[in-house]
Amino acid sequence: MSEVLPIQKECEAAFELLMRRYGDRLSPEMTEGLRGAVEAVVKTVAAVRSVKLENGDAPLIGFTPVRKEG
Amino acid sequence: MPVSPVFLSIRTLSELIRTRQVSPVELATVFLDRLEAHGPRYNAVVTLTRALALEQARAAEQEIVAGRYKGVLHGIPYGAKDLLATAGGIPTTWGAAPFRDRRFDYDATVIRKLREAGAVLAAKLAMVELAGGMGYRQPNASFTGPGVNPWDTSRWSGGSSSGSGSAVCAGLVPFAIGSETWGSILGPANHCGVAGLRPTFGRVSRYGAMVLSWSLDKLGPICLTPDDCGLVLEAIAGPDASDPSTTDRPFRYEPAPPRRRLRLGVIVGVADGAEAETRRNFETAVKTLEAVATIEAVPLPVLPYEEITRTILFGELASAFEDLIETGQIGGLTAPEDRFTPYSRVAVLAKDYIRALRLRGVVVAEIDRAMRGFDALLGPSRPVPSTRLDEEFPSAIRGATRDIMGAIGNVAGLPAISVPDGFTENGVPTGIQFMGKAYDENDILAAASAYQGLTDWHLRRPPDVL
Repeated sequence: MSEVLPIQKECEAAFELLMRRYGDRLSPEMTEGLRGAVEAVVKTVAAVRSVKLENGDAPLIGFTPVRKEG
Repeated sequence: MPVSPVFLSIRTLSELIRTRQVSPVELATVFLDRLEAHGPRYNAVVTLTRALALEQARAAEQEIVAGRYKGVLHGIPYGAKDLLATAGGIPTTWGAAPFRDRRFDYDATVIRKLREAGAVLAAKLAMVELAGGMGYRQPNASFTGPGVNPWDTSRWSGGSSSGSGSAVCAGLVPFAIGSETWGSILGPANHCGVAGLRPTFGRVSRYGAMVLSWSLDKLGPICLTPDDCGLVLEAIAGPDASDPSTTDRPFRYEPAPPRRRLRLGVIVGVADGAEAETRRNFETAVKTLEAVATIEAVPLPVLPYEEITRTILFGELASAFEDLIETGQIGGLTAPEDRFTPYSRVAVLAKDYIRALRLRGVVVAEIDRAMRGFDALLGPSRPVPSTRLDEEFPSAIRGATRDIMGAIGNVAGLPAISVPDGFTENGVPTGIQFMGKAYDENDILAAASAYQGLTDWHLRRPPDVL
């Protein structure tokens, strides 16, 4: 299993990717704002990753197969 | 008209209409004039639908005179949050400048159901742009301006159903429809001191409503009383082939008072992050409820509840608004922070979104177990009362405050109602929420009504609204 990326490194990687995609639209002030928003997202998902799940813990997704008549 | 209809409940108004003491046209005219005169003060109205309202009111009048009374909503004016599609050339703006002229050629199911019940659409009501999912930090986040609180016009009406909350609070409509993904019905109900009901996920069709998050969005009523919320919910609930998430379980409002002592729970630490006056009013409300209920502490396992809900929300909104984000149209939004924050939501990986959905299964099972035997769980409706219009507000969606009941209730699709439980020294209301088990709206409506039988917070009106 690969080593877990420290939060700060993950923030930097995500921020860099987003800047490549959208950076040309952002002012310096917006860029700083985006940096903070990315950090918040990374911390959020880090908390989600911290919980142990079992193989059988299925995602709660609503899905109904469809069969049209005929 | 024998009495002023302003601030009368739907049940009272409907009796006046049924007995032909008040005509639907008279009623529509009163509320249309109020919306026109006072709506701008609160930035509550996007579009006044006067021509449609008068047409619907005239039709209602003729039907009632002809003996074809449809029920309690027949001839009652209402306002709809401007994320519900409306035909007939009426704009549906989602509160967002890029969509200010957009029109649909069909009605949302909720609009259709209310029309069929005889209700009269008087206005499309203001909202936070794109229902607040873009990361806004302060109230000025709609092309119609910040939602203004009728209790104090220097303060916020709450969001994202801003106009739905303020219009009911100021007596501009007898009821309104709002939507909640996380806090958007309970928040304005809290800030404006009215009753706001978030139904069980799937109770009410979202067909024709703007999507922020497919698995979190709910539509529900904002009214003066829990009783009115029950009446409106019965009219708008029900399965809809156009929205596969809707449930076949029927909803019939049963307004009977509880026949036994209520059993209510308080999640351990639920008010820990709340502002002092909010916590004080909540604790007083819990003590008041001891007259009709047994109240117990409810422990929950430690889980990242807010983060789970937030991850699902971020993942879904990044997809729902992919076009807006990728084309850069978010640059045309009103709140400066809404012009860049959505890019950060793109950083949620698919595996993390799915992990959050797996944890949702854990949360749903845990909360269902914890709520067994309880009629409702109690909590402050919002952790803070209405903040100033020029002030950044703390939001659990941004992680700036705790909102464990909002996170759990929305991720598990549970119903909740907010009713006022007091005021701050600044004169703005605070609210208590009753959160029920899935499909048990009747239980929370009965509990909230029982609370209001012990208090008079819901009978107070803002200054200068009459």
